[in-house]
Amino acid sequence: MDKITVGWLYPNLLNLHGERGSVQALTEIGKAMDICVEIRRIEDFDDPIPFEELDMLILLPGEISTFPYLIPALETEKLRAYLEDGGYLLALGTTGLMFGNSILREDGTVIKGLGYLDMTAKERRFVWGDDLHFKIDDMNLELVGSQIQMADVNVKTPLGSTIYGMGNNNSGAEGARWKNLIYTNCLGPLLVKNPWFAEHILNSILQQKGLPVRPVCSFPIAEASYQSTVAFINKKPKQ
Amino acid sequence: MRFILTLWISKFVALAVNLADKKRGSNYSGKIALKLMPNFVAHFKNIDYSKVYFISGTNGKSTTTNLLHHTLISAGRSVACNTEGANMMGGVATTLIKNSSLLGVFKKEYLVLEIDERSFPAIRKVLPGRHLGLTNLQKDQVQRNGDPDFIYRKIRNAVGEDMTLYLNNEEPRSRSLADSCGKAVYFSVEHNSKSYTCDDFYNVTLPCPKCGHPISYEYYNLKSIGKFHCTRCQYRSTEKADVQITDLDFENNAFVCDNTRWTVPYNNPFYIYNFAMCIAICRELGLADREIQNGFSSFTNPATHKVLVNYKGKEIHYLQGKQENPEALQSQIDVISSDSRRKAVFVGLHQIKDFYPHYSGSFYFFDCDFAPVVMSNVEHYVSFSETVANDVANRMILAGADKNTITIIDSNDLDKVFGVLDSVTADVVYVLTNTASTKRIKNYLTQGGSING
Repeated sequence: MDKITVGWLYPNLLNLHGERGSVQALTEIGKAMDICVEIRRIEDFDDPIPFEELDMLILLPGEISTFPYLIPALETEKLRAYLEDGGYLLALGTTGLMFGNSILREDGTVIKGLGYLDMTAKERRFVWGDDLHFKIDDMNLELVGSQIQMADVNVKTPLGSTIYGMGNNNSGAEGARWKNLIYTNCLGPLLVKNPWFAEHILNSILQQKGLPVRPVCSFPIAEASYQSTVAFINKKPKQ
Repeated sequence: MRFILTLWISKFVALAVNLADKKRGSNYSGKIALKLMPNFVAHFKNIDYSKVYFISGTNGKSTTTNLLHHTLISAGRSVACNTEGANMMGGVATTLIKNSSLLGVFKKEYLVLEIDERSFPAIRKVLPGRHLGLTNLQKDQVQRNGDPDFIYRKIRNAVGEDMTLYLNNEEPRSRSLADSCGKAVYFSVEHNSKSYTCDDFYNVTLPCPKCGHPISYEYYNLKSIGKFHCTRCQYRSTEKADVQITDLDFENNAFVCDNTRWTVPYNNPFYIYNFAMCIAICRELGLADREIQNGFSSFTNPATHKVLVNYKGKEIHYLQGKQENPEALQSQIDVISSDSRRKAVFVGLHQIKDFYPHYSGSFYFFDCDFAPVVMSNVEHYVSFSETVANDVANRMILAGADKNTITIIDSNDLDKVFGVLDSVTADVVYVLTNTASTKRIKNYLTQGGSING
C-alpha cells in the first residue's frame, strides 16, 4: 500500500478547538483512498524534525503565547528547504500567524514571524467567532466550518475568498498560501468537515512522489454536514 | 449625592421587580444602577475588602460559591452572596443593593461573589477584594474567550500582591497564578478509584505556563486535571498541598482530609474539588473543621444536571451538557461510559446561540474523549440536531463507533428522535443534550413517564 507520512508538530502545545480530529481524519481519509497515512508526533519544540521522512507537516491551532517558543525552533534552513522544495505544511487557525511577517499583540509588543507568508496580524481586543464558508479557486473546492478569530490579518496572497464569514479581516480574503504552505482560519475540525480538502492534498503528495493519484471518494456524512451547515448559514440575517 | 440617588432608584427597581415576579431580574436593579453610574459598585461603605471572596474559574464556580455561602451561613456568619447566579458587574451591583442600607452602608460581614472570569478585572478595579478562589482555567465559550490564555492573562493582570489565591494543585494553568499573588493556598485531590491514565495517541495536554514545553500527567482525576509535571522545567503539582483530600470512598460519599473523615452529599470528582476549595477558604476564615462539615452535610445544590425518567418502559438518563466546554461535557460523557449495562446513547448538540452571530461550531466535542463510551456496551447511537448531527456522528465514528449503529436525525423533531427507541432493545438509554434543550426534552419525556430524581 502506498504510504504518506505526516509530522504532527507539537500536539500538546498547539492543542485548541478539537482540531486533533483533523489528524485522526487524515488516517481515515487515507483508508478511504487506499493509502496508509502514518502520523508521527513531534512532541517538543527542541525535538528534531525528520524532514526527509515526512511528506506533510500539520500544526493545529494554538495560543499566541506559545509562539515566542515555537518560532525560533522553526527558524531553520531545513524547514526552508522543505518548503522551497514543495513540501506540504498545513497551519490551522491562529497558528498560521507564525508563518507571516509579524504579530502585533494587544499589549503593544510585536512577535516577529517566520516570514514565509507575506502577511501581518494584529491581535483583536475582542474575539470574533462565526461560521466560515469559502472557496479555493485553483483547487476548485469550497470549504465550510467555523472560525475563532484572535487577530485581524492582512495578506497579499490569500488561499481563497469568502462566501460567508469574516475570513482574514472581512475583506473577502481567507487564509494565505505560499507554495504548499497553507494557512486557513477554518476549523471544524477542518478535515473532518472537509475531507475533500485532505483528499486533494493527499493526492497532490502522491503525485509529487510519482505514485498514482486516487479517484474521488465519497464522504456521505461530511457531504450531509456541508449541506446542513450551508443551509444554516443561508438562514442567517444578512450582515 | 449621585450615588445615593442611584442607590434609591435601584432599590426601588429591585422592589418593583420582586413584587412583579420573584423569578425575574436577578441583576436588573444592578444594571439600571450601572447605567446611571458606571462605577456605582465602588461607592458602598463598610465593605472590609479582606472579607471579600471572589470565586471564579471555568467549571465549578457556581457550585463552590453556593457551597461556601451555605457553609458560612450554617456556621452563623453574616454573608452576602450572588447565589442567584448573576456573576458579572450587574450581579455584583444587585447583591450590594440588596445588602446595603439606604445610605449605601454594607450590612453584612462577608461578601462572597461568583465572578465571571472575563469580568474579574473590571470588578476587582471597583471592589478590591483580597481573596480569589480559582476552580480551574480551561477551554470554554471560545466565541467569547478564544482560548484559555486569553482569560489567564486577564486574571493575571488583575491579581495583585495584596491577594490570597486558592488554587487547584492539579490544574497547571490556574496553579501558575501563584507567581502573581501575595499568598497561594493549594487544594488537592489524591489519586483515587476514578483516577485514570490516558495513552490515546491523539491525547493532547497543554504547554507549561512557565517555560512552554509540554505538560505531562501522571494520572487524571478529571479531564485536564491531575498529578502533572513539566517535561522540562521544575514546575509540577506539589506532593503535599495545603488541603489534601485522600482516601476517597465513593461508595459512602466520604474522604479523608488531615486525618479526619468527612462525609459529603455529592461524590462526583468535580464536587470533591469544590469541597476541597471550600475547606481551604473556610479554614483561612477561621472556621473549625466541625463547622465546615456541618455545612457540607446540609448542602443541596440547586442546579442539577441529571434526571432519571421512565419512558416507554425504558430507564432514560437525561444529562445536560455545556456546549463549547469540553471538560464539563466530558464529565457527562464519563457518566455514560461508567455504566457498563447495554444501552442506547442519544446525543443532541446544537448550533451555538449565546449571542450574535449564532454559529454551528461543534469542534469542542472533538476535544472530548468519546472512546470510553464506545467501549461501554452501546447497542445504538442517535445523533440528532438540525445543524450539527452529522458532525457529532463523525466524532463518534472517529472514536471507534460502528457507523451502522448510528442513526443521524437532521432535525429537532422529538417524535422522530425518540421514535428510534421503538427499535432499541436495551432498557437503559442516555440522552445528552445542551442546556437550551433541557426543558423541551424533559417535558417531552415526562409526557410518557414520571420524573424520578
